[in-house]
Amino acid sequence: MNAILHDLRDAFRASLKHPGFAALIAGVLGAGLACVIFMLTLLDGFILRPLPFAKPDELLQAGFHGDGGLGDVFPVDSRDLAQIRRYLAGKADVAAAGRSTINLSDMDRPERYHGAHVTSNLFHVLGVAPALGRDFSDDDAKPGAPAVTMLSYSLWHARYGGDASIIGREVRVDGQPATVIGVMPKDFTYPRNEDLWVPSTIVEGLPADAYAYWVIARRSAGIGDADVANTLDSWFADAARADPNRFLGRTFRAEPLARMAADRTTRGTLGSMLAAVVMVLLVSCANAANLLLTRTLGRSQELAVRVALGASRRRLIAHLLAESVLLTLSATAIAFVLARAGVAWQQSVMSQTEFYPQWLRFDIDATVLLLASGAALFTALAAGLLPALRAGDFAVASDLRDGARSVAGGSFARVSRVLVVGEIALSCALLICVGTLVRGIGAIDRADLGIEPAHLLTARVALSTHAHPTAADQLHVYERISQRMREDAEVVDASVGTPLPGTFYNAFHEVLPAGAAPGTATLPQLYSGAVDAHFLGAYGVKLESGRFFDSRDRADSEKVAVVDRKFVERLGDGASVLGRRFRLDPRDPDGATVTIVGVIGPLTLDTPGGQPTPAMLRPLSQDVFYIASIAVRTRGDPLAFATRIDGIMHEIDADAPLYWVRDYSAVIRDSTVSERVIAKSFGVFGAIALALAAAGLYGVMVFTVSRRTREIGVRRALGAPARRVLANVFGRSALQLGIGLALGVLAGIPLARLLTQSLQDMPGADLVVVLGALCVLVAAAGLAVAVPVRRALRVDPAVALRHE
Amino acid sequence: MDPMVRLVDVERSYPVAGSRVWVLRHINLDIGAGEFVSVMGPSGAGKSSLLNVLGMMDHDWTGRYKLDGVAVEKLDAKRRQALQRDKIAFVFQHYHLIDDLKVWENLDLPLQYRDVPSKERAAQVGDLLDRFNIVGKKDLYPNQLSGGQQQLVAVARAVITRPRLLLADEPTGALHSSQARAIMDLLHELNRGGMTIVQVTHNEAFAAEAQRSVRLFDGWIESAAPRT
Repeated sequence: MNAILHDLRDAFRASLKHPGFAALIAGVLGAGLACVIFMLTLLDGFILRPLPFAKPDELLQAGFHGDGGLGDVFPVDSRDLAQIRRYLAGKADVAAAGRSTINLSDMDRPERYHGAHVTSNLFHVLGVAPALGRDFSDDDAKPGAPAVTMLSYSLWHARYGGDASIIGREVRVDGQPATVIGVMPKDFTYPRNEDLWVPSTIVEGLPADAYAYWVIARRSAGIGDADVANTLDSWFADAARADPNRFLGRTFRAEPLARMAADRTTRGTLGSMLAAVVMVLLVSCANAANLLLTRTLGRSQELAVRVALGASRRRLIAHLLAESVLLTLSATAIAFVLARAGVAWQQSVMSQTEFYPQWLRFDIDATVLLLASGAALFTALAAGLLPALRAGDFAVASDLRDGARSVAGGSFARVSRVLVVGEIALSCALLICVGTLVRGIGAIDRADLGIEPAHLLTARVALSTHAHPTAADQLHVYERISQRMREDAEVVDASVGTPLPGTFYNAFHEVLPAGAAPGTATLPQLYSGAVDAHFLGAYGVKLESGRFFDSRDRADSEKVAVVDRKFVERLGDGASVLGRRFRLDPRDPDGATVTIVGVIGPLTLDTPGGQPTPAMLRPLSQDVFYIASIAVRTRGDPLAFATRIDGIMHEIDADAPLYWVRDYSAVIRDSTVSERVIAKSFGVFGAIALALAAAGLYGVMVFTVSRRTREIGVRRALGAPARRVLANVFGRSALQLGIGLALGVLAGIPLARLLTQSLQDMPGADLVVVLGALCVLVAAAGLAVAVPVRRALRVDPAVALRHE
Repeated sequence: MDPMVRLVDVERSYPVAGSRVWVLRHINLDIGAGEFVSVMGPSGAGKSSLLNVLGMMDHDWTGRYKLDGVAVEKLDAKRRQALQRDKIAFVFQHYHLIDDLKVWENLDLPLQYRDVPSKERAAQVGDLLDRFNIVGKKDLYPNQLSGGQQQLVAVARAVITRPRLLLADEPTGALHSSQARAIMDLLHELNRGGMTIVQVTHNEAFAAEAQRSVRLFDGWIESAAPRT
């Protein structure tokens, strides 16, 4: 113990004596550790930390299998939910939540919120009691019961200033009177970022309501996961027998509720990010090891003296390790500060995304501290052990001659060179990943959606189904909205419809020519939306053949559709599709059959970057929905029209506020927010790795020049021109750089492909990205060696020959 | 009775470009306990190589080496290091004090490496600071001392473990004459106390002060004459 303290004291003094060197190593290790702690905090928040609900291990989520956005399951409809509750009675308490836009209006201030239609037992099943007021009761969910609602803590504070008299107050929810009965605790939201909950009436025998329910279940005492899964399997088998078409090709599964925090895609992305930060940490360790190695070589005589004074190899190694332990401790302190800042940034960015679960917390807790300590210990050993072991070898073998210069320098230099090659390779691989992501996002931003995005203002509106219960009512409101917009002198054209091209607010259907048997094979798929007659003018889309929608297309007239060129290429069989009939969702008995009346150019309704999928537009009059997108083509700056559009909406329906009022670049930006966050994270990792590689090269070059000062002096004295000296000194570095870059390209291209495949089917690394990464690294290497180059060229032969 | 040092047919060579360079050839040398021996010779004669073999800093030699009755060539690395720790100490031309340690900490270091308890170490360091008259310098760093003072500390550091054999590689080589004289007086005093001393030196006068001089040339012992 005493010896350890002495070693730490010596290491501390050495750091004080060479503060620049100590700061460089602590910075290098701190950067690597910060990335790792940052990632550990994210992993802890997403995966390791228990859900903030009572006895979270008892909670399951169930649903159709697939990537449903909340974990790896799809939601069910209210009919299925009612049956599932019956099947699981006695084995599990089943609850559900259907996410929805909910408009809250009182005090003449309508506002749109994320809300959820939930079973009355949802909060009971989660084991979370209201902070104020009461929970939903079964009576609240009975047909005809007075409407009630519960608020989130944040909404209660933001809108009502935390006024406790809110309980019992009447507000308007989606235009209908409802009583506030409770406020949920601080930081509670479910299932994602909801602020408002209303009870759903789930009764077997009723037709399905409009919501998609994410099902959760709390196992009863003595019931295992397998019991629940078997019961769900029985329900699924019975349901599929009763309605084979609806369940064809689908499976049902239950999984721990904890999965909802990190679905398959999120786990894949976290895995990629973790791999990247481990690479950065390895680069840091290699760098620090290299710097320590070169410094240890500079201390060769001192170490030989220690051996002569009786230091054993073990003591010598402990002495040298103490330095890396001390530097790692400083680095860890730096890393925690940086990581906290990174996590705060990440959380602020993620909280702006649509599907971010607000209850996720990313704090540096005991788990993170424990894991970070492990990473720090690994770092200290990885950075310090190699120099210490090498020093232990050479110090024992070294001689006592004063000024002995060649103490094991050869093997040291070899190890050092290998480390630098590794650093360059890792940095190159990371930069290729960063470049690929940035380029992929750039391609998405520039993607041709088939519309004219300039001068386009968009917004969403959700009508109250109580105030506007029928399709005709809703259509009437939409017609008034677009009519009023078009009356404004600033507006070129305005349209209302369900889709928003380039986003995920579009319907997804399977399609076949009418009369064709669906069979069991995978069917062609398309995205569709219902639009009014002004869609072409508002979005700047050109009709290629046939006609667009007009007054002939009424709710009761023949069902028609306009398709894009991709549809014709995929399903036209080389002939015109005009006048031909197609069946949507042919396995669904309720699937519509439409006649194609027009063809437009390629239109991307889904998020850009994925596989091109055909698009189909249907008349809004024939497929109206209570939530719609408004598109306004303006003469001037579209954002300048934002307040006007709001005012017009208020005049038409004061209980239906507009939301997501954005120009089109913001629409696309928001739909790729996850990719941007990941690209930025990788950008930070890549920049750190680049800086580390440059620092590594710099350290080695400085060391090389200082070790060879006398030789350089001799060469200069013998008349060697500058270029010969440089070629001699840096030739080997160029070789290191070349090998490192080659290895980096070989590793980076497949790594980038893996990464982009887990995101938006972006293209992999291309020549531009690879060349770009190489140029950046060569430039960084050039900068790193610039100072040593100057130093080498300024070596005065007379001074150099007196060196040592 | 065995002498303190017995070298029998010791040879040392290095591989160079396919052949070997010999730095010590057929060295046969006895040094008695309590003897003071000077090793002399021109540069490259093998003086430092001989000192490395004697100090067990070099193990790749052939022949036989007995130190205080123990056959060094038969020891494994661990036992060799233990023997070295137990019996030998070094003084260097350029002192080689540890720059980051204070004077007293430099003296303390060899005791630490021998796992001497801290109280005992403090007592021994205190004794030696007093004996070498450097108490006032104990909290200074080496670079705050003159060359002579640094070598004084280096000798103190060497003898704090009470070695049987002190190997001094040009201990006065970097000092001016008055400082060199003081160090030589100190070595004599230690020798009178029973310590066996082998010094490498270029200084004929200081070499002559030893009881015996060994002269090396091209790795061979040219002469091992007693002081006349």
